[in-house]
Amino acid sequence: MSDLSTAIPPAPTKSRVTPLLAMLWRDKLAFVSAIVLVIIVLFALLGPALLSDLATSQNLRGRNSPPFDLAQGWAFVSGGDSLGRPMLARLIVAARSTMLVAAGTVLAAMVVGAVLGLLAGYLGKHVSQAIMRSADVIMSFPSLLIAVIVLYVLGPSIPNMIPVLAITRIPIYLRTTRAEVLEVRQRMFVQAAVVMGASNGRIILRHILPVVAPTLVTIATLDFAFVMLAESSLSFPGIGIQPPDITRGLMVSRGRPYLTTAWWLAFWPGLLIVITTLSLNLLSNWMRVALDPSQRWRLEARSTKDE
Amino acid sequence: MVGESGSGKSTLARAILRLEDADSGAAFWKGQDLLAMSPAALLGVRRQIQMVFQDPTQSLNPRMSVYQLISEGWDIHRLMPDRSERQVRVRQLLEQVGLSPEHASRYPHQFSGGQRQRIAIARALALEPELIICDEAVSALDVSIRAQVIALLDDLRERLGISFLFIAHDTGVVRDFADTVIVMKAGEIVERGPTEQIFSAPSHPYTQRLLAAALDPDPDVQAQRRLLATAQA
Repeated sequence: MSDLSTAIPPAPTKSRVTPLLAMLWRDKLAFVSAIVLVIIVLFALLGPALLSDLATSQNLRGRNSPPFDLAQGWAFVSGGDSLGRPMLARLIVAARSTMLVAAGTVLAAMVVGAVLGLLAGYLGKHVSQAIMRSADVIMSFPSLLIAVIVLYVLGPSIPNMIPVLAITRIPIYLRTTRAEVLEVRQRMFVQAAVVMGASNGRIILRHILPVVAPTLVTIATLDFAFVMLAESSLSFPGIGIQPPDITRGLMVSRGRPYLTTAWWLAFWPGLLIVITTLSLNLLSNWMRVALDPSQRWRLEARSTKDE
Repeated sequence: MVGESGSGKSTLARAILRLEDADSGAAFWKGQDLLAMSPAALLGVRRQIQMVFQDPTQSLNPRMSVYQLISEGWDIHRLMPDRSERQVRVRQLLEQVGLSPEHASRYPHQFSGGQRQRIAIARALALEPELIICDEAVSALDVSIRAQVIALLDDLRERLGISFLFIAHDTGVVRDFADTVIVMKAGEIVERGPTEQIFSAPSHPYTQRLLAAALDPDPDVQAQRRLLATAQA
């Protein structure tokens, strides 16, 4: 950590990245969150390549072996699962599928929901009605039913799961975006842009989206945890992630029957889900402040405050 | 243009600028009807008519720097593609409205109300308009700042030859600033004419009442007038 603190101090250079890093350094919680997320991403990128053999090798003597016991080797430091596979390796390997499904779903839902919400909020009544009523249709449809139908037809795989899960999350973003756009479009600075002759696209992208975006990002980070668990509910009818692929949500739901005898089966993946979500949330909170000119001073060096 | 609150002054301005749809009627600008104009033709007119809003805190996007705010019009109308030229012009505009050129990189929240309104005026001037509509542009400012901003507008009018459509409910401000006055009540124009005529010999009873309602700076005169008004009633 010591070399980091010397590498990042506020050296106001011309580049755009350095002040951003300096602001990140100033918010210690966000800084730690960023590091945690980088580690998780590294797990997701490298884990499967390095540890997938270890994660699938069964050692029946290590079945449900308790954590912090090195008798079975270092991989069992966080315990073994019900088939005697090392939890640590499985947790690391699971990062890839988990992040792929969660990030893919949340991003897809957020982008589609935001675009439709902006259109529904800004363009006329008819567009809005059409979009909102289709959202109502999606919301009234049992999401598990869509999932069952689609995944039985197309086969269970991560690329198929992402759109299925995303569709069920779209209305949340759509409705939030639309509600905010309806309010923001009445603000004077939007009207001022209209008077200057700004096009609809320009008004939406330059004036409305920046106001709405922080809300969306906050919802997205909270949604991350929801999706990680929702994905595991798909494996109940057998259309979720297929073994040997693993996700954290799946590990939680597989560990649930053993909660009284082997708590670590559900605890570790659950803890990782919490940590990931919390990190994302703290980071998004930092981002909201860092990107808002009227709040940014909170993160800027005290020495520049009296410029 | 004067009138009491709710008399339709702002609505008229907003209808002229097509921020609100007019049910009927026409507004002529250089022989063309603004209300029946095609979007393409309207874009051209948007350059010539600018607006300064009542509350500068709300009319400036808080996420844009002063430079971005002022240069946005050039982006929209594809003017002045050269960045250094833009920077020079932004500095000139800031000086013109009485701000310092170094303010270009700051954000609206770092300014006081009067300064913000100056930024809004600089933004309106950036497109070199022929008409600026000021919708209660000074009523949100406190009295001393108000006088400064009006002096600024007066100065701009004389130096740059810009016309103003100045909407106010404060008759005193209008008396100092306007050449021609329109009096509105309940969405109708009740009287119009040269400023001296309206203020010295108002013909419509509403105008007479409106002028009588304005406070006189001298408390004795004001007390006298109040007595008169109650005696009449």
